[in-house]
Amino acid sequence: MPATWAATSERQIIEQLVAEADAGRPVYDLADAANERGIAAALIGAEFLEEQKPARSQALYGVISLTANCRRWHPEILRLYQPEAFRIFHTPEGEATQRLLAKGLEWKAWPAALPEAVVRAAPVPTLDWLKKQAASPTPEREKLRKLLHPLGWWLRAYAERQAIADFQAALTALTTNPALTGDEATGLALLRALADAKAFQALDFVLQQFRASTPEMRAAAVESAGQMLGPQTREGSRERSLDAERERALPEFLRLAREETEVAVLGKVGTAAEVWLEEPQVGQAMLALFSRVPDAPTQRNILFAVAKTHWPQRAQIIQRGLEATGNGVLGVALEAVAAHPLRELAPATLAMLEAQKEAHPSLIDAAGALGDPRALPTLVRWLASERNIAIQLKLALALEKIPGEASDRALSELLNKSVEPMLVEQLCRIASRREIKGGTAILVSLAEDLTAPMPIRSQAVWALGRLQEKPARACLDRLGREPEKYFPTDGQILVPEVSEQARIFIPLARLRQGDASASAEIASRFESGTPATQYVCVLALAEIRHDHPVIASALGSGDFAVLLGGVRAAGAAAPGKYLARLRALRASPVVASLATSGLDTWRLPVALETAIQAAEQGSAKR
Amino acid sequence: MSASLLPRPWAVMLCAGGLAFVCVTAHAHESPIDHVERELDLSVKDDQLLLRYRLRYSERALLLQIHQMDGNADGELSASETAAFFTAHAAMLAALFTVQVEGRAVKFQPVGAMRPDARLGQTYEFSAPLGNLAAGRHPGSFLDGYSRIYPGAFRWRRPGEGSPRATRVEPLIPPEAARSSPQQHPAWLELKFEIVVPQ
Repeated sequence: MPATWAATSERQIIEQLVAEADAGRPVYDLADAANERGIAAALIGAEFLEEQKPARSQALYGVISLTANCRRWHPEILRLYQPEAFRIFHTPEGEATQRLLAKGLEWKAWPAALPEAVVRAAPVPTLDWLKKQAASPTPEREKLRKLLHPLGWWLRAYAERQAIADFQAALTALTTNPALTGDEATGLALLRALADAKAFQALDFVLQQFRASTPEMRAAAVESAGQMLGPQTREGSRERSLDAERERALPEFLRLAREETEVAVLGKVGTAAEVWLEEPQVGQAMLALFSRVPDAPTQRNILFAVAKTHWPQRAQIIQRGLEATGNGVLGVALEAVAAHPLRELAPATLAMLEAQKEAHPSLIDAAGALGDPRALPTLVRWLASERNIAIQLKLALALEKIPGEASDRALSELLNKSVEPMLVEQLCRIASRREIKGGTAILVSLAEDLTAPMPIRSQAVWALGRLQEKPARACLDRLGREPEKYFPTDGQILVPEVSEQARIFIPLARLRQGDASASAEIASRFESGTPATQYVCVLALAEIRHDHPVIASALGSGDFAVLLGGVRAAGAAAPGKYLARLRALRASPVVASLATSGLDTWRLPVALETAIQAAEQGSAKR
Repeated sequence: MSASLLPRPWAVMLCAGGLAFVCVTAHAHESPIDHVERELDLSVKDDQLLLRYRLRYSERALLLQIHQMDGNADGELSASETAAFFTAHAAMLAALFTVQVEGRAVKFQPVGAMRPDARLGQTYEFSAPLGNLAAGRHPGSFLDGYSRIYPGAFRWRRPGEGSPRATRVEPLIPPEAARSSPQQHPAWLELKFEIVVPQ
């Protein structure tokens, strides 16, 4: 907070903001200062809201909107950091305060900032207002459209923690009012909001709009259906599969795919198709649509969908994409090959590879995924002449996936010669995943090269752990005897994290070679390590599926990354052993709320679910 | 030794600061490692070096803290659960601070309870006895071991501020120049200062 406002009370800030707004002057700094004070500033602002003072009310609703963004936080975070907000949003007494904040809803003209402010600050009166519109023979359509826009943003960002089902129900109720649905602009806004809310309860209304007279409505309807029938959370909820709803929507979707002629609608059809992941009828419909409509956006969308689905017709669709020319269809088709490297797609992909003079990123990925040794000469030729590091990395990853001595030689040569740190690090990673004949001496040299970047040396050490040859063991012995000499701290009081990580890779690599005596050192280095080091450690254990006591420590960590790594390691190494811990984590209300929070969870809920399933399947087999 | 095993010209590449940290996490998007922003105030009062230290965690990190605090796993925090957590947290922070004045180690102790604020900040206060410092300039240093565990941007609020007649803490060199090694993470909090005691 700027020092100028530090000693000023919320009331003084708001009073000054009101004075400035009434005088027609800008209030940005004051709004920022109010935002620093949280919802307490909004509550004072509500006292000054006046229908007859539009500039002031606009400024105050701006403050309410800013400060009430905190409603997206977990209730316990609110309880600790903004207890007043907790009272407003999470206790019955808060409803009266919400009504004060939302009093402008009843005004004849709304300040522009009001819709977003009430969505964030006042869910109860906002829901009431929506219900009123649903029941009214003369609803306020323009205001409704203004409200649906920020409501859609709020819901799409998974910011609604409390009233998602209530908003879904209120939006569904709106679809029953012909005074709203009969108006195209309002109908379009409603379809978008239904999609943002994933309000599958309104599916029947949406399906009716598949037969709307205008292409805009049909396009919005099919887009809406695709979103509401897709995953209900950012992570992909496993709680509600929506199979019944998808089955109900299927006939109308297939009819539209067959009969529609407007490309604006067909493009959306291509995207929505991906919600029927396994449905052969949808695959067949998309194959027919791809052949019938030479529209590039439609074809691209179908190919994007193909990459995510398992339709039996996927190879035929991709094949047609590979025959396309221009407008990016071919590029998406190659991405689909990378997602589904089916043998029947190899001839066309390889022919293209041979004909292509310069390196092509999607073609490299596709060739790598196919893993066909016939791709090697071109990939190696490209590698020799390529200067772009991103392309070089792609080429190295493609070579990794192609088995055989020729790719071995190419990788070994590259590891030998390259001076580009990112590429060498990637090559060391590859060496830790697959054998590179003739690579041992280079890995030893890199691991012991005090001038080499530390991440490269860490990866070289880890790759040596994969090897049983004497030079690899001898190198790890040397490093293990004097880790401080090989990975020094430059005289710093605190050990640099990169050195710490390199040091923990030494016992990890020895464990990987089968040396159980390294276990104690792993435990002690894990104990004293930073969260980043602990994360790297448990991921390494996950990679080699090796159980170790530090996995249990990681499962009890208060650090997100370490907990995530612990779950992955437990799932990979010994899911049955950790089943009770994993179930307890899943049942924890706080961890469960992560899945619906909209925060970047790095798919922790999915990792948890996968680990638990692995454990349960394991015990069922026994 | 084959030509390929000769040392490579890495030095040229090492200038790419921050590469190391990015590489180890090996992901194409935002890191799972939570960073923590911090602000601090250093002052002297009644022969005590005072530190006001504000930490701002990410929402995700705060959720994990709540998960830690929630001893009975009911999803709701009691006053005793939060008090126990923040008391232990303050003690842990104090233990990770390394402070020297005139080459002599001084030890910070937590003072009072953590104060939360509306922007998800946690403010802790610490004090350390300085003894009776004579008039003049007394060099000191502050190294925050917690910033090694959770790096992040930091700001020294109002460095050197105060009346010329009052004892104050002035930065000796800019914080970014206080790092002891170029390999050090740029977000580690390390300060060199002088306590200025007026005549």
